Amino acid sequence: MRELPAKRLDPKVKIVWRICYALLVTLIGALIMACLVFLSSRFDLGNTPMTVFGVIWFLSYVFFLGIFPAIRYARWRYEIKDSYLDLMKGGVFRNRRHTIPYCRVMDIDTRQGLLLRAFKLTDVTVSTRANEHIVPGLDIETAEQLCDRINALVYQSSKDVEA
Amino acid sequence: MSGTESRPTGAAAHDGAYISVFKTGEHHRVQKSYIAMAPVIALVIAAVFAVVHGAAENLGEAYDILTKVTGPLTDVLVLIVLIVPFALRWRFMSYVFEEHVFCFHSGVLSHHGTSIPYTQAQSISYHASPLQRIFGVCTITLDRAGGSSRKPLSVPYVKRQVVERMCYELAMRKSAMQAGATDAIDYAPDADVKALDDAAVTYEYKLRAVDLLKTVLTNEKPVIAAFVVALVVVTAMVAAFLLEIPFAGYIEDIAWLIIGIAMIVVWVSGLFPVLLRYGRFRVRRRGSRIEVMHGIIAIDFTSLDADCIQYVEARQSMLRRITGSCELAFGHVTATRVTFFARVKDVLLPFLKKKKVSKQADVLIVHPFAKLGHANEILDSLVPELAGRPRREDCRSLPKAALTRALIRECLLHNKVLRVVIAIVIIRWCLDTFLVPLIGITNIVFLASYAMLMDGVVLVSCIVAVIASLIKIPGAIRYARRSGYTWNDGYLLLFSTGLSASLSIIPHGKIQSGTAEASLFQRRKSLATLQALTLSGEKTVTLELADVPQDDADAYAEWLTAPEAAKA
Repeated sequence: MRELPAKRLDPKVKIVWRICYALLVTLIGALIMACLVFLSSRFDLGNTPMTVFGVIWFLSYVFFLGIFPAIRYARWRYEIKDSYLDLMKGGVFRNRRHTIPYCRVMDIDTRQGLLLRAFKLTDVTVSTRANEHIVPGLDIETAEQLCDRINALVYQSSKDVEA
Repeated sequence: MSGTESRPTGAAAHDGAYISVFKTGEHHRVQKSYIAMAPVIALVIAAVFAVVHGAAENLGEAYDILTKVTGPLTDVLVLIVLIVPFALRWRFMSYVFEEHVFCFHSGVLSHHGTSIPYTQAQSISYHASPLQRIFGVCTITLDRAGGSSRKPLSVPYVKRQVVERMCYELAMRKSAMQAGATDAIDYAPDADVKALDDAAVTYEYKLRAVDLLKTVLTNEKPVIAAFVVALVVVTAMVAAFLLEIPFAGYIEDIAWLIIGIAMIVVWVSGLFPVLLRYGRFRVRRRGSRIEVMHGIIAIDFTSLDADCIQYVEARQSMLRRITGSCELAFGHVTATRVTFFARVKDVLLPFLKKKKVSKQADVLIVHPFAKLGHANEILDSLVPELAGRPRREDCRSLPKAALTRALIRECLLHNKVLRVVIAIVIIRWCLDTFLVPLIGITNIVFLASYAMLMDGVVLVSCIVAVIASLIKIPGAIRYARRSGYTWNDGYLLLFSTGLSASLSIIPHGKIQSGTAEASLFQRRKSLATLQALTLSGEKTVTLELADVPQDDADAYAEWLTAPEAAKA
């Protein structure tokens, strides 16, 4: 069994995820609740649908604000190996471990939205010709170091392949 | 491709020189028949106006006014609105072979110039629609590296003979540039391109009539369509009986006849597109290129450099497995085709983004009906660069724990029919719980009929789901026992079988990234799904094999990053 990647994300990313999930759950929940209220005003639905949805809505908050970000953070790991970038992520059911050889890397970006900027965090995006892999929520200094290190290794690996 | 040596095309095969048939920097116009499209469109518009006139005859005075307006308008449209712009566009449309790039210029008011470096051209293809074939022209397309982010370069209305010379020229210039021998290109406009090209043909195969017939008869899509129609007819009949529709009694005696006729009609009508597509199929190895041409009414031709093959796939549907044959295909990068509907969708529904990662991709079929025993021989002749690939016999089997996983996955988790049935049951529950009380239906007869109908639908769905699950059991057992995987210095081989089978060979250098995915259940048994991401068509394609031992998934990751394999 391979050793797990050594590095973890910045713990502040959990707060960012929680805020995002809270907004999403509130928005979707409010929309559904509005529909139910509208239907209740037109038809005699009784209290059951509202109660069932209220419970689901509350449980969604518990799951997405309490449980899921913690699991996601615990699963998210990364490590810069000598010849490849090792990423591991997952949720409740599924774990994914990506191996990205440096010789396939096309470009490396950093992205920072409003929320990430507020917490002084940034995402690092590593693109291959096929797709892109995002390492989310790193503090700016770590992200810059990560980019520099990957860039150097990408350059080195391209020289090795040419040789 | 790993281990591939770029070889010059036929142009350089004789005397070491590259013979060019297009002068560098000279502009060439497309065929004049491009303008002839205007009258064709005009005829269509005139026909629409005629229909409008016909429909408007009953309008009385309004018809007279309409005639006065639309009569001259039709003539003006034909003369000015259509022909003149087509002529102008033709006048400003040209292509040119520059020293390092192929350019296409177009545009009357705003000028567009698109260029592709010869070395970036992944594949060259041309398509002749039935209308284009009448005019003896076709559209040539160059796909460039970069996949979905770049558009292809298309030159419309090029004469068939010219297209063949263009294909030769593009491939020749690419070879010359890759060999760093652009100075060695000799201009000889009267050179016999066909003779030069034919000299470089090392392998050629034409689909025989018998094989074409077998290809058509073993194509699974018409069979599936026939069974779906049969299911719909059966459901409709059951519903008719349950609802006691008056004519239901009459069709009772001829029910099987109706189902049989419906299935045969759908199956036979589904065979024709396959026949038209694979008719006159031929594949050739010419220099470093693999050329595929097929089509009876519309003609499709694709020329792909062996270096640009992303993976090789041998696919077997259930029918093909019974006949011991398979379909050989190459995954290759194509650029994004921006269709009219795609543009409309982008404007109206911008939030519906195109899925970029797919498990199915557009592939270039190089043999639609290859006997299993001959598949390796065909591949060796067509792509000798792949000689170092691992063989099916070298595969490692899946562990015993894969059987339980395969049964659960195939029969329950990935069973699409079961999902549909669950959806039907939920919909039925929602209808009963919410909709019927909401609408306030009190008609007892209607409610009884409705309940019988819904019970019938749920019953038929459940029976179909059980049958679908039972059918998948042999497939799951076969998957666990026969599927396998292996890799050597330069290639990864994944063999996934079941009711249908697929063998994928991916050169190490074409795998963009690898993933080992493990679900909760897989983790408990130390299994993982092995995934290889590569490019094919417009998208990224994921080739995967489930339930590989975790240790081997780790070894795969190590192999993926091994520098020796990268160089192979």
